[in-house]
Amino acid sequence: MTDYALTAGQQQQLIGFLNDGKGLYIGGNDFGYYHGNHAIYKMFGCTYLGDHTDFTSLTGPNNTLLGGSTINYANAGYPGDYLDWIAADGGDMLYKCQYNKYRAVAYSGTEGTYRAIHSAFWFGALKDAGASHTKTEIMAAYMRYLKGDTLVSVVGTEISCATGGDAAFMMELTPAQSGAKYLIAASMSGTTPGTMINGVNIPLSQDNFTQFVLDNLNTSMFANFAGLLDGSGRAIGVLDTMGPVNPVWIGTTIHFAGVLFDPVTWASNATAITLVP
Amino acid sequence: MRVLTLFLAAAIIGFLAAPGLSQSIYVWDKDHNLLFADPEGGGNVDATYGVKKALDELGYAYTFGGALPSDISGYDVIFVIMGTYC
Repeated sequence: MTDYALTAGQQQQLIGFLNDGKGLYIGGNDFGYYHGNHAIYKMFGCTYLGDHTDFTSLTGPNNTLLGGSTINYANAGYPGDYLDWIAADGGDMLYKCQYNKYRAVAYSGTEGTYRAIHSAFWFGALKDAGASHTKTEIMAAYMRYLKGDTLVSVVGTEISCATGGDAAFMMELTPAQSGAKYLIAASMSGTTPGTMINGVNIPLSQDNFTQFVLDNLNTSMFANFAGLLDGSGRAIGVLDTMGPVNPVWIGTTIHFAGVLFDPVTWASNATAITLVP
Repeated sequence: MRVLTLFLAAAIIGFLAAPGLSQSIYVWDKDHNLLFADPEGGGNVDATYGVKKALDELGYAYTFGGALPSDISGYDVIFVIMGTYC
């Protein structure tokens, strides 16, 4: 191991960081070569297979956060030296090169409690020219993943059926998404298997309530549930029960998720509101 | 009730929007200063350049340093930029 590799103490520090539910990105051509048998490497859901260096283009496999993305790589000088070739070990492979060898991975652990991305190429050596997504757009996707929750219930997670009430949901993306069309969808049937649209898994199992919300977007009951993200890439939707709720629904959990659409390109995590007595 | 909810939501968003608070990010420069030609014409740059440039363009505030801080509990996201040979 070189002097440049992570020390045992640094590795433990970063493992602890992930175990605290945080987001970690490690970019390095030789991360696998030097750390492939270390505990820190296992946190990324991949295995190191070897070095294979001369690729010049990358593609994001479908159904990943970079699905369908294509971009060229400036494979010269240091960014082209000893590039690791990796395989999935629980993680979602983000990019493969033109030789069908995987080069980047995202993983949230077996329990989905943290978010980690490893790239075996230099982010800065990606070439915007001719790319389907620029480096800035790719970084936006990385950050959405690394930050975790992008839809949160900001005022309470319960509503009383006896009195009724309201709840606010904040979508928080990035300034790069300002002006994007969004909507907040819902389901009373849980988050799995979810609904796949255009290769994007929306973590809501479609049911009658889903349709009810879609039919009533931006009414008094579902105010600001659809529109355009503001200049910071944010929006607030407000649910108002408009009075007491039939007690037959006590104990019901309703999940909400944000979607960027027209066409659907992205979905948030799901966040829940429970109806209580 | 809804007025109160909207007020609280707006207040929370206002808090989160303060620089450095909505996402606390650390970029660790661990690339030992290997340079290459930036494909976007930025001259000879190191491995952290593209990461920082993209974060800047997205409007993220971040802390940049050449060492891993002894206490990283205050950060939500860490970028470890190792370049080549490590």
